[in-house]
Formats: sequence, C-alpha cells, structure tokens
Amino acid sequence: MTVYALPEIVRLMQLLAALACLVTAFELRSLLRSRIIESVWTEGALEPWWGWRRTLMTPVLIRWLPALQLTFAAMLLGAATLPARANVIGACASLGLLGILWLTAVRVRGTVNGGSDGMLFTVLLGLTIASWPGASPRVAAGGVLYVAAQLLLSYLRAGAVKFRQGEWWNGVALGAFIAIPAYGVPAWVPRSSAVLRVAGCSIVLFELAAPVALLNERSCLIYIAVAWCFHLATAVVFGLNRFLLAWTAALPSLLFAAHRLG
Amino acid sequence: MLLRLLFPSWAFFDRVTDIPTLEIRRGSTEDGRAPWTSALSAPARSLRHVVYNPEGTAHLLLQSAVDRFAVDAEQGRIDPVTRDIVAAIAERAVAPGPSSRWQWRVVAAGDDVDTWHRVLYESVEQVGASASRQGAAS
Repeated sequence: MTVYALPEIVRLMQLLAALACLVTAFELRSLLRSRIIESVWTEGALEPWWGWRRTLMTPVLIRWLPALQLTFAAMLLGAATLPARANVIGACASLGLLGILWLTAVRVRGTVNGGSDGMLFTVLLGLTIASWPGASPRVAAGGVLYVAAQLLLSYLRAGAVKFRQGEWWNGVALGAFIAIPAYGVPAWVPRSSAVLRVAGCSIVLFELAAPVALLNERSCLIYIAVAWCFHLATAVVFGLNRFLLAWTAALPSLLFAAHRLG
Repeated sequence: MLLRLLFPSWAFFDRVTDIPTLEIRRGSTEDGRAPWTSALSAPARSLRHVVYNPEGTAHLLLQSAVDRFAVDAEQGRIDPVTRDIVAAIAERAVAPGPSSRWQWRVVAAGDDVDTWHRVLYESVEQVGASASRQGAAS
C-alpha cells in the first residue's frame, strides 16, 4: 500500500480538515464572545431573509455551535486514526461539520471568511462521500477527485483572470492589494516595483501551472510544496490564515488524482 | 447560501478596484462636526496569527459586509438589510452615548483615502444608539 492509496489520502485529509475545523471553531467562539455577530447581524434585521431557516437560528443553538464544531472535529481526528476508510464516525463527523458551516453562513448571511469557507465545505463534502459506510471504492474515489477538481479549478480560474490583466504582470495589482488597509499588511513586506513584478508574475504562472500537478507523482509533490508555500505567504502577508488551513486540507487530493491519472 | 458553498466562485484578488471604506464622524451641524475617520482598522498580527487569527477573521467579516454594501450602492440598488448591518458596524465603532450625534458613510477610495475618494452613501445624522438608519445615496 502506498501513501497515494485512497484510505491513506482520506485519512490525511481527515486529519488536516479536523485541524482546520478546530481553528474555525475557536475563532467562531471568539466571534460569539465578542458579541459582534449578535450586535451587527441582528435577528431583527435578518429575520425576513432567514425565512424557514428562522427556526434553526435560535440563540441557544448558535451559542453551542463552537462546542458542536469542536466535538465533530475531534471525531474527525479520531476517524483519521481508524484503519477502515468507510466508517460511521468519519462520515457523521464530516456531515456534522458541513451542517455547522452552513448554519454559520446562514447566521451571518454569507460566508465568514469568503473562499476559505467554500474550500473547507468542498473538502468536508468530499470526505463525507469518501468515508460514507457502504460507499464503493469508486464512489469514494469520486469524493476525493471532486475535491481535486475544485482545487485545480480554484487555481486555474484565479490564474486565468489574472493572466488577462497587465496589472498583474507589472506588479501594480499586487502592490494595490498590499496597500489595502483592511489586510493590515506588515510594514516589513517589500513594496519595490521589481519585487512586486517578480511576485505578481510568479503568482500568475503558479496558478496557471496547476494542471502540471497531474502529470506524475513527482511533479505533483513539487506543485503541492510550492502551493503550500504560496498559501503560507498569503497567511503571513494578508492575514488569511483560514485559506492556508482549508487549502492544506485539500492539497492531498491532488496526490490521489495524480496517482490515478499520471 | 448552500449553492454559494457548493459552488464557490474562486474569485480571489481578481481586479484592482477602489477600496470601500466605512467612515464615521461625531458631532452635529449645530455643535460642529469632527472629521471623518475610518470605522474599521486591521488588527496587529504576530506569528501565531498565521494559524489562529480570530481578530483578523472578525475584521475581514465586518469589512466583507462593507464591500457588499459598496457593490450594492455602486449599482444603485441598496438592500435595506445590508444597510442595517453596515449601520450596526458603524454604531459599534462610534459607541454613541444616549444623546450623542453621529453619522456614517461609505466611500470608495484610491490607494490613499486622504487624497481621493468617492462618496457612495452617506447616512443622515444619527442620534444615540440604534438610531433611525435612513440615508441618501450621494
């Protein structure tokens, strides 16, 4: 059995997704304790939009969401240590975490952290399918390949849009994003036009090169390493920690796809 | 909401646009007004925030509501729910007393908000907390 085999990939993704969900749960707990959600996304304002989902938005349930998320994340961690790919604990944990992500998004009328919530949802959906008791190996592989397809799409779509814009090739776009006050980019981040030009071109090329990961296992490992460094840099520079965690959980799916297709 | 989670747009850092900024000011026309100041400021970060960043996540959540409101305002179709959310964010920043007067607005700014900006929406004068959130697009 290799590290590229389906059960090993599923277990690795379960472990990484569980860690991402643990962090997400603690951040949600902090958000609820600061009463930001309660005071900004007030029940009075959102009630008409919630519609039939109003019955789910009880203060008690919302208050317990972080604890539930922590419990499911711990279950997912436990499932990652089990020998069987398909097991009730793993399937229930990822399904429960999917539900909590959805409930949280409904509570704040949108995702808490943009695309990172979307990627974490994608990973959990793929894991639910892959670890569902009774799911055939073909169906389980489909769950992991779905995550790999979304991951590739995320890079390719982002790269294709940037490719058409001269501002990304000359570094102007990256400089403009670094200057956005909302990201609070640290002062030590270099802002010279030469550095921005090289970094801008590198980002476009890296994102467009995503299909290279499918050529063979070696190219896949190299691409994953570069991708992880890219997400780490994004977390350090822009403070997007949850993107690092969600994409880290999704990256092993590329290994499985490369092993299957390469 | 489920569809948005199932089919994310994967649109990241696509296009350089004017930056929507939520601004507040205290005071009234009679008593004099303080200058406009930004209602949201990014929290400081350290190495631990690379993994766990609750303050940053909260800040980006609030900013995303402002961004959404700015898109609506640009298109001339303001959603009252989004407006109330942004007004509540402004109110949190002002923390007004019972009779204090204040105002909020959303501007689209270039790299330097002090040198160039466009007012997308400006509220009428508010009194105290949870005041009437009426306003007029500029």
